[in-house]
Amino acid sequence: MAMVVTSAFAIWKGLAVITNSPSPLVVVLSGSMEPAFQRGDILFLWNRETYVDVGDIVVYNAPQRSIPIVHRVVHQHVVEEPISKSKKSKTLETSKKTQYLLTKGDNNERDDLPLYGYGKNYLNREKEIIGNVKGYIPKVGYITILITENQYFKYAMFAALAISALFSQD
Amino acid sequence: MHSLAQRANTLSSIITTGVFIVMILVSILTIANPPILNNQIRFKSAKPIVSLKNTRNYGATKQKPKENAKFKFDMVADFNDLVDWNTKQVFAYVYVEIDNDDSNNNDNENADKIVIWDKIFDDKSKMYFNQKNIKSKYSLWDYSPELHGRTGTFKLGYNIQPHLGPLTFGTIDLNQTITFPEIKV
Amino acid sequence: MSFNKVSIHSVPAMRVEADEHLGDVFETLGYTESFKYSDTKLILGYSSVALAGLMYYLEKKFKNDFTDRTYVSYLQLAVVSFFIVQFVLYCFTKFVEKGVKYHGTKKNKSISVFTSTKSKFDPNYNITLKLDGNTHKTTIPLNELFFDDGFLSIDAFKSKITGFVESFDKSK
Repeated sequence: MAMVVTSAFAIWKGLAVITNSPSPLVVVLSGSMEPAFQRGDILFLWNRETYVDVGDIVVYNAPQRSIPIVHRVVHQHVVEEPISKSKKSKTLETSKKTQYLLTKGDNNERDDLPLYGYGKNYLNREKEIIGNVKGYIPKVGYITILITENQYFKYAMFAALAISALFSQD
Repeated sequence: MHSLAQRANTLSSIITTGVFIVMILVSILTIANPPILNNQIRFKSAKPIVSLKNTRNYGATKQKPKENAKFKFDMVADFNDLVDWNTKQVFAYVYVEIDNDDSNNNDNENADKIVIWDKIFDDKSKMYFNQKNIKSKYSLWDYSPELHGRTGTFKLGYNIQPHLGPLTFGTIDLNQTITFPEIKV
Repeated sequence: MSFNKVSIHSVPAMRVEADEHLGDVFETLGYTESFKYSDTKLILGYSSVALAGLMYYLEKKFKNDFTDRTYVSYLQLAVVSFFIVQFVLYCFTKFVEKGVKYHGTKKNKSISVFTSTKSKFDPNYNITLKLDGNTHKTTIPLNELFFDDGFLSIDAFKSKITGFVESFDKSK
């Protein structure tokens, strides 16, 4: 049993390393991308492209929000910025290209500027994007929403497990 | 004698395996036979109107105003080619690619791209689109504050959303260039 | 030694119960069980659990920040090591252990025991012994080893095996 949990965790981390995304599978929690994605859909992420494109659906962690947000890119800019030279820096390059993005939920009237927080106009592709949505399975993730959001369902699950443990042999 | 937990475990592993197999098969089918839009799209844009905005809703602040542009355009497009048995919806969007001023950087790969209009086609019998005088849904502003005098091109992008499986993307050049005019006061 | 009550209609349950008492049977024949196979497997198993623990620790320490190259390289190392250990464990089970249920020694003789049943419904318990490079085979019907109440009859098991071993191993 411990081995099953261990392997599941290691496979998850393995996927994270392959996709370069801290969370390679996410469950959609809001209706802001309807009708493309509904609550409970499972999304497969990939995070190895240097830049994402307009129209791509990305997942990001908004500041001051613990849940990841799945929205579409509507603005993209690649900006060449000088690297602030610290004494320790050994790189020869003096500038670096950074991609800035503005996102929007398909089902929302307007873009995500209010979600970014005051004074923040863009997302940083490298720092804030967890992954780019490549594919999806509808609805299967709904069980995790039930477990995390519905306390009665959680208790019912525990009760069912406990009862089955009582009646099972060994 | 199998316990309830064992049965639940077996059932969930069968379901998971099944879903993943279907997912892989669908992905292979979609990737082997990607939908391509063969029809020519007809697109014509009127001259944009540029104005100076100073609120956050237009990407600006009071101290740092930004030039915003809005458009009116006509478009005829037929998305029927993109639809197959696994299509849930087609998300079509029109965006402007603003040319790079940088003369030594002639690859437009990193050009600024800004979506000005989009539409969801989720009814398979209404994949034909023909409208005149469409207003841009979203105001256009760039990363840098100025627009006037700069040039750009219109492109159409589409994202095919399946019932299950991989998302497919495509872009089409709308063969229409623009030059942003002086600010209208 | 402890006995479990098993269903005498379930061949796999009886086989597992019989396998678990091979040690007791061969002890009476003067063999000492060698734990080198199970020890190796245990070490490999614990290492993979430790590696998974390390991944968890790294996640907490670096707050799962994938823009941190240090974290990603440590994590890559841990993941690769985990799968190497798992692969070694798999190969060991498949190619070295090869279904050995018991491994024992007596003086300078070593014995390996393999057991199997043809299917879930075939109660014939096939036993293969490897003693100093020679292979000997026998088959015992599992239902002859169990009492009607589902407990293993260790005496019946011992006498069957003893008889079988003595048929080719005359030395004491």
